Amino acid sequence: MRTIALELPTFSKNGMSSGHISFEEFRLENGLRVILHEDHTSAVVCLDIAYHVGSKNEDLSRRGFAHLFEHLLFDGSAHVPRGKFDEYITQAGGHDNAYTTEDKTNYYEVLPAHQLELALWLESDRMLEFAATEIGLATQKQVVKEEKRERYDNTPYGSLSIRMNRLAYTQYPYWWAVIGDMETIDAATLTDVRTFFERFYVPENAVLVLAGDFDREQAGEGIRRYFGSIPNVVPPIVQPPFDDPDLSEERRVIVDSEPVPLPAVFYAYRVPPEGSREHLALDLLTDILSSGESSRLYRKLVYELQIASETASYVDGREMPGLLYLYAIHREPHGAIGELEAALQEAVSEVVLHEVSETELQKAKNKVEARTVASRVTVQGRADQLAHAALFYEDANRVNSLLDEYGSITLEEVRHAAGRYLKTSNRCSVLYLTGESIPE
Amino acid sequence: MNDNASPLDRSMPPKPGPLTKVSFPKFEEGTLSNGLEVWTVQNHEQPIVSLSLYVRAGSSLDPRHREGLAASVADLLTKGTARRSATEIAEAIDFIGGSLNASAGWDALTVNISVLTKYLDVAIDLLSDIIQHSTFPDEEVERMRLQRLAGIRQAKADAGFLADMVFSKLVFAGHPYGQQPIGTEHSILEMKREDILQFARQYLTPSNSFLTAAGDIVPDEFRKLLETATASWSGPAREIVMSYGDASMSAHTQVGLINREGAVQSALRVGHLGIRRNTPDFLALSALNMLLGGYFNSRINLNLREVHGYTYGARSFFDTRMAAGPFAVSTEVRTEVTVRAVEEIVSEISRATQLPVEEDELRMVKDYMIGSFPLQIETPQQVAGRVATIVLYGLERNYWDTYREKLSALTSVELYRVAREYLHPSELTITASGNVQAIEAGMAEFGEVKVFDDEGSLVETPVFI
Repeated sequence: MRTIALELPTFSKNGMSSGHISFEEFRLENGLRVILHEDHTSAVVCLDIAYHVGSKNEDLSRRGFAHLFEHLLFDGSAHVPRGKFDEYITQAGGHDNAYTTEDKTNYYEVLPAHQLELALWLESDRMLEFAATEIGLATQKQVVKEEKRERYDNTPYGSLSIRMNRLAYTQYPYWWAVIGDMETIDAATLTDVRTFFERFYVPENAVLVLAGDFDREQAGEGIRRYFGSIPNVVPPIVQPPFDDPDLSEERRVIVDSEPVPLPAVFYAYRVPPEGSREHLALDLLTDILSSGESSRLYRKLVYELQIASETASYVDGREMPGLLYLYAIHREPHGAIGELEAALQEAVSEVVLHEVSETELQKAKNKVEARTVASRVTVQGRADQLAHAALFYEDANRVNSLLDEYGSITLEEVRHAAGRYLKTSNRCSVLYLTGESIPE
Repeated sequence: MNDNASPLDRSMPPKPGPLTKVSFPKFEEGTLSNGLEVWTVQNHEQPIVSLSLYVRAGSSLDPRHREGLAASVADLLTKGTARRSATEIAEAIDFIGGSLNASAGWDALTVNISVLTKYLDVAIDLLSDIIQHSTFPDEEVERMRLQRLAGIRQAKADAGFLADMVFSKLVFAGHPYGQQPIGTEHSILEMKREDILQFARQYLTPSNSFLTAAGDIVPDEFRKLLETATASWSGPAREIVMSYGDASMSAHTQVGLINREGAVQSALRVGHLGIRRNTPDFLALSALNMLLGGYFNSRINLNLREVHGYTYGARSFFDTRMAAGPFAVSTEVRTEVTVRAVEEIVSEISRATQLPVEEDELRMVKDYMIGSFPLQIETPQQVAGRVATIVLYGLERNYWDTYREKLSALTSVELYRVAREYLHPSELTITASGNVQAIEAGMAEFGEVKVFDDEGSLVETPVFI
């Protein structure tokens, strides 16, 4: 069953500007922040709930636990037997999913509009009284370890994020990957599960967004009814302050023991937290570098020199200082890694030394506009962004000011950020060699 | 929402609210004077438009020894016209933040372009330029060749790709569907610019194509703009006659293995010849497949993931095309449970042919498919994709209007009939890409084992005995 459909960008124009999202918000007495985005375009609703907990909140000996916990949260609560959560959602014609980052864990259900209350019941039940079992824990450990094998251990370049985090951070709990390690996943006990739940899965540490086809009054009432009685018992959570020293020189690893088809150079530069003006400037810079076939890296490495089969850059933005990734994969299995790296470095220094043009910046802004609009095509996309803005910026309306903020970034800011952060002494490098590739 | 005055009872799931009426959005058809059919889905909620041109010529028309031809044509369509170089095309679409891409599926080659409404004129100009005036420059052919070769090499490092490739070769031996749509290193090296020109000349004509336009457009105005922009596009009126029929079923279960150094997992494919998109049994089989491996709560996923913890996920599908495509179960499992995972998969396929589905399980699948339909037509682009399915496969025009009714009328008896007719647990093709040494002996319990290399050629002397 394949359809030939393509998911493409759109946004609601009942607002004022490109992609405006209208909403109202309130806070329950127990501290739960609630955002309602009513939109009757399609007969669909999305309940999205973001908890301010990620892998950086884990105990050192339980790396990977936040993500394992995310799996377990689908495994039953006081009134929802093990295995029934997905069954209820699916039976209603909906779908659900979740993801964990270094900084947050996000859950959502998308349902046909008339099934809204089902989502309220399920989400509130597991926030109120989550119920993990030994068998559930054992099974989800297997599933998570299999996920690690599939996506990190058995995929070419799959070890990248694990290696890069380890290089880029020496102290701060960003040094391990969200997926964790086999041993620390195995080490998790039901007591850990209970402690983690009681510490982090509380109303005050969450943002709930309801988006789509519903009546605001009724939905607000429903949320109060289902979530209002959930107690908030713990002292406020303080996120670990960033304490990792700046990089003072390049940190470099050469990997020749993993099966990869083509040699590749991956760079990551330490950059300011998501949401800062410098972050926005660097985000625009990555568009200038690699978004579309007219971008600098693509044109130089893939099109003109024909040395790379693929090249890209992007900011892995985080609540604390994150990473700007930049990479190129060689075109030939026996290709010289030094040649590829030299070409990549040259493209980077051109950006740093020579000036990015006003036209390139405008193009990058147009890209960001189209991409922002594209990410808001579905109620789920809009709900996710509202939750993110409220959770990290205490300002859900940031979804509506973001494009203007991008628009206000000047050429000077982009040039300055490029010069300040894209330097070798602020860089981590992971080079993958094939059996055939010529070392440096 | 339940009565707020009564105390909240958390012990049972709440009853659903009144069912929202959902009808499939209206769409219009028009034909330009050059013969191009234009299907429009109007939706002004959002200031964006996406256009998709479908040319009824996909990878199934790749000649023997020219595997990857349709895909190469698609690659090159956006790489130069009489008016614009590849760089100028990229610059034009990038500057407005739009997206433009072309790709080949089995049954059609598609060009997709999506822009904010304010740039619709640019989109029409680019699209009409590409379909009328592509020049396939030599220099770009060579670039494409190198990119495809690198892509093929990279694909060959992917366990899933290798398992798929050998699966297709075994299920569709001698049939176009057994060929590699991305091409092989050999076929791409041999590809001539003349092959590409010939393919484009033969198939890229208005009467062999249709276009869908979805989003913030006014159909009459849009067709007028397109009429003017494509006035010089012409070509003979032609009916494409499918030059191939369905492949035939294999007579017994066969096993194909591909070795991957250092693999900690096996990529598994288990299945056989499936069905055509336009078969009247499509819907019953969709429901059957849903139950078997089509969604998270399906038998195979629950068995392999939730009960046994063998995998992160497992799914099954009928990949339906003009001619009968494959039916397959697809998963990645860790090496040491590979054989047991295949046993579970085979047993689930057998069970579906031996026991009728219980009413509860059927109701769950139907609820899911009926309930999820509004989610699948949330955006105008999704709607246009479904309209394209109607046009491409010659389905009834009201196909999606009656879709939910037809689903709800499905019975356990009917699912049992199609299970027995279309599932063949004794004539399976099983492929695994992984640590051959570790799994070869165990896999022999299912049928004759053949070992292949990453080109899909038989390894004469198996490395491990």
